[in-house]
Amino acid sequence: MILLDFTGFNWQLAFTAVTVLILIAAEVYAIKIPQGKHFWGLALVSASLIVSALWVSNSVVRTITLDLAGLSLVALVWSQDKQAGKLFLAAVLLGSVLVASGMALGNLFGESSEPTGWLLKAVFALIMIGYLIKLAAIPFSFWLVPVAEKSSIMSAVLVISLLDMAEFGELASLRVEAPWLFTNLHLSTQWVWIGMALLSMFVGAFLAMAQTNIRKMLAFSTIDDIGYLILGLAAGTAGGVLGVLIAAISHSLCKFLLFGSVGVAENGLKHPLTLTDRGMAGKYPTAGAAFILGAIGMIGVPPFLGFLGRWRLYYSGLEAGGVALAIAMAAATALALLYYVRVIHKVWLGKADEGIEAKQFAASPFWINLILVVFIVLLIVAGLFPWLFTGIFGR
Amino acid sequence: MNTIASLSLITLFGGIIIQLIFGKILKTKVKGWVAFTFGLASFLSIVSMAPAIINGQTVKVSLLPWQAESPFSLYFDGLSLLFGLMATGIGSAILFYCIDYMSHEHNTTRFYSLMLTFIMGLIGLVSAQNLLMVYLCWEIIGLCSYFLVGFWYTENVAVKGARKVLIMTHIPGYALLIAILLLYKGSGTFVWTDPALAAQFNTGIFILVLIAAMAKSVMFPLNTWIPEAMNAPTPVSALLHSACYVKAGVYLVARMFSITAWHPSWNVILIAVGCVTMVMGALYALIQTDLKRLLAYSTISQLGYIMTAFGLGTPFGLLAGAFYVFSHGLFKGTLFLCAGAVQHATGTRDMRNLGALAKKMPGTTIIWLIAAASIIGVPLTNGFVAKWLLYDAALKSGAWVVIIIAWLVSSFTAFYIMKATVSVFFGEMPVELKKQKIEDASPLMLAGMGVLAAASLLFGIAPQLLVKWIAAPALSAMNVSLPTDVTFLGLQVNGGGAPITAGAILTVSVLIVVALIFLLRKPKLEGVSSFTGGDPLPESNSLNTVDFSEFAGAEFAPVIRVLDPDPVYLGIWHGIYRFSTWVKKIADEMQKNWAIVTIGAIAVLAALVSIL
Repeated sequence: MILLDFTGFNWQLAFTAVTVLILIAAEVYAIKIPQGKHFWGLALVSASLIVSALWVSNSVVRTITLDLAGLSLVALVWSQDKQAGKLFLAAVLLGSVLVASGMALGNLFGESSEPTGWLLKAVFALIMIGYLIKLAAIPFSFWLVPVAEKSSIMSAVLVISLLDMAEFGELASLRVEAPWLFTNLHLSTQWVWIGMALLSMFVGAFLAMAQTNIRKMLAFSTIDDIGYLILGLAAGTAGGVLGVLIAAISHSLCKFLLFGSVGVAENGLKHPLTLTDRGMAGKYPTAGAAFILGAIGMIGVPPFLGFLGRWRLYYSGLEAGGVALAIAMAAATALALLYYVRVIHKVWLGKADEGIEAKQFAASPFWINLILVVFIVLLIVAGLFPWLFTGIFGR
Repeated sequence: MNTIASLSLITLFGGIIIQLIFGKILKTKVKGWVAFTFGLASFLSIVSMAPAIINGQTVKVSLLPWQAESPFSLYFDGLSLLFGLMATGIGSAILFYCIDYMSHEHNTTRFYSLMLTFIMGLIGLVSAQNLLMVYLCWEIIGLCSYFLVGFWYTENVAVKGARKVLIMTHIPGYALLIAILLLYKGSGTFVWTDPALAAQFNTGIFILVLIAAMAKSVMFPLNTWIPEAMNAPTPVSALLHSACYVKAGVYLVARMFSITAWHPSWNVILIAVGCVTMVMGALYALIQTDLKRLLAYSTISQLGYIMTAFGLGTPFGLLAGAFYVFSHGLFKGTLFLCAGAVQHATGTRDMRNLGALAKKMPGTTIIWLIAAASIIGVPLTNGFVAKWLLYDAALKSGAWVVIIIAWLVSSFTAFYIMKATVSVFFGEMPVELKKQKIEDASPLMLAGMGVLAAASLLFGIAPQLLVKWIAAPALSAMNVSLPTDVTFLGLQVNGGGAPITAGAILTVSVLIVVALIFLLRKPKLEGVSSFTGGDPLPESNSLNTVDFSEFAGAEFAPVIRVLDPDPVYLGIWHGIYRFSTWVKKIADEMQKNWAIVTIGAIAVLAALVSIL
């Protein structure tokens, strides 16, 4: 069975649409606020490779294409910060090698059949660890924070929004095509996934809370969110996997809003945005609104699109681990609310400091404001009227 | 009928779209009129459904497909009517008031869009047939509250309040979501009218729903957000934090009567929560010197009454709850609007800097007095009937503890409302205020407040209108029939109510006699020697707001300290933050040795898998 049949959701088309939308938005953003000299070309190459990987049916070619997309993004990040580029390269190579080895060993590039004994354990360990590295789950998040902090804002968006979304698509496909990797009678794979998901959710949330640099906070919030998505896959119901796909789309769009608004503020401040910068919404109201609504969308509050994914993730958590797991998920979301609210109220809302008040800021470019508004509207419309899209994307 | 039901939401949605599209070109007052017109249209569409609902019918509409598991299906019954009328009726009056009140403000497109979205969300909440839609609307009104409290988003005090509103109402909302998903897991449906869902209802689900309801309806210990929310524009306080938003939790509690038969222990839990809240709100109201904060604590206390009435769980209790919830919306909305008019005219809501406004603001004073009489429970007002029904229900249930607590809190209510009334409208005008040019509220503002005050009087003199047309259908929706007939002034006409009716006649007679004596003696206001109970009066020879608040604060200090949960919340927050900084230190060290950590983690995970 393939993912489309399992969920009734044309995820390839939906992911393609989101990729193209974010690519266009990022390119327009880069015209108004420069994102590095190689951005235009490498962003296009990466996004094209990601879209190709979504549609290629041969799993070997698909895996290689996605890894190439990762490498092109490594090149982009490397051109902006070598240290971040090195760490990203290490993650892409290590993750790809582990996943590819596991898939080859488990014959997942061909006719998949469930291995047994030590082979099962080896395949599971290789693939799980490989994906945890690729997705920057705890304890393999070493590369994501430097990438988010040191590269240009839209480069970070491409990595966090597009590459992560595509990797989740791959993992979700694997969840359907090789379910034994997630729920297994001979091996407690489900609980290992759930354990790793909870680790990412909670450690990511606590680390996000402790940050003063907003980009770093957003990087850890991504790790927190990845925990939810892994948990949805671990539960493995059709609803849970559908929830993961919707949540991945929402994650991509919301992260664009969050990073995009931070980029606007940093462009005005001419330094990285931190908790010591106050009252930025007074200077950049649209960016402020985008950050607030992006944050609310990220934690899956209705009426945003994220809710359609998030309730399914909760439900799959309830099915897999009962009320205790659902309460744990709610607790992690409450932590997410706390760290987002902390930034919203320290950085964006309230009275600006005298220094900021007196400073002359560059105006927020109209086209960037327009893009941010379009993303906000899209998230709300998709959350309230998802049936408008069912003709295109299925369920 | 289906079209009319849909119109209640569609008109509001239309109003929001018009605000958003034409907001840049419309003048502020025009935006106010547009919002009012669409609010009124929604009100009329709900009113036009009333005859069918009063006759025992329900109106069902499948509005939108939304999701495969949960379409947008509307289900209007008596409870929806009660809360829908509150949202749109009181909402329209408040929007009318806004036309002048907000005319000097900027960003009114945002303001009116959010107000209309809030009303739409509340109608969606009370008419949703599937519980996922209930949660959707629950959070939409929560977000509206957050954004409206933080309307003046460059002012620290406003955004601080907004932050508290969001955190304290959103997090408990997850309890509702988990309850809904548990019901879905057990029954396979989100539709609350489905008997399969009712069969899954148990005490655990009740407690989860109650947690969410307590947060929205400011029940102790989840009540501390509402005083901070008072930095919102006053119409927001009137609509959200007195009339409607805080009633969302009451709606959830009432709706649980529609879904399932209550276990006796649920009644005990709800009564306990209601009684503690009632006392806590009143004590805090006594010590306030800020007019809006006083009203906020009063809301907490009054909601305690309402929850207690529902907690009694008897038909009389539910009647009292249904009557009280609507009445409170009317008189508390009025009080907030009057407070807004005072702030608008004087620039302050600090009662220490107010006084003698009755001469300058006669219209506002009269309206305030009607609403104040109502909240105290003076006969001829709806507040009297509401309290009377509650006492009657408690007497019939033999709930003596409730009666004693409610009686005590009623006395406190009279004290703090009298304190506010005298401090703001009577006594001597502070010197600073004398220098200002103070004018009464504009005719539009007076009309907005006046309509609500008039309704308080109407339903006090002829409460049978509210009982028959609004409370009885609500009771029917809660699977209970009207336990008694009520006639003018709240007099009960059946046998059981006769002794109480006699008591009421006696009370009214005494009041008339006292009034006559007062009028005949014509006492002089100056030079009256006061008995102080042994303690000397202050130099001014009168007790002012500060004296009163300090006295109450000192006398009730131990209780007030115990009833403040904020230090606990702060402790939790500081604990979380300290823990997160500790985790960060470890993570920073690990980042420096990322290669070793990665290899180590791979080894640990591989070892873990190998031993599984």
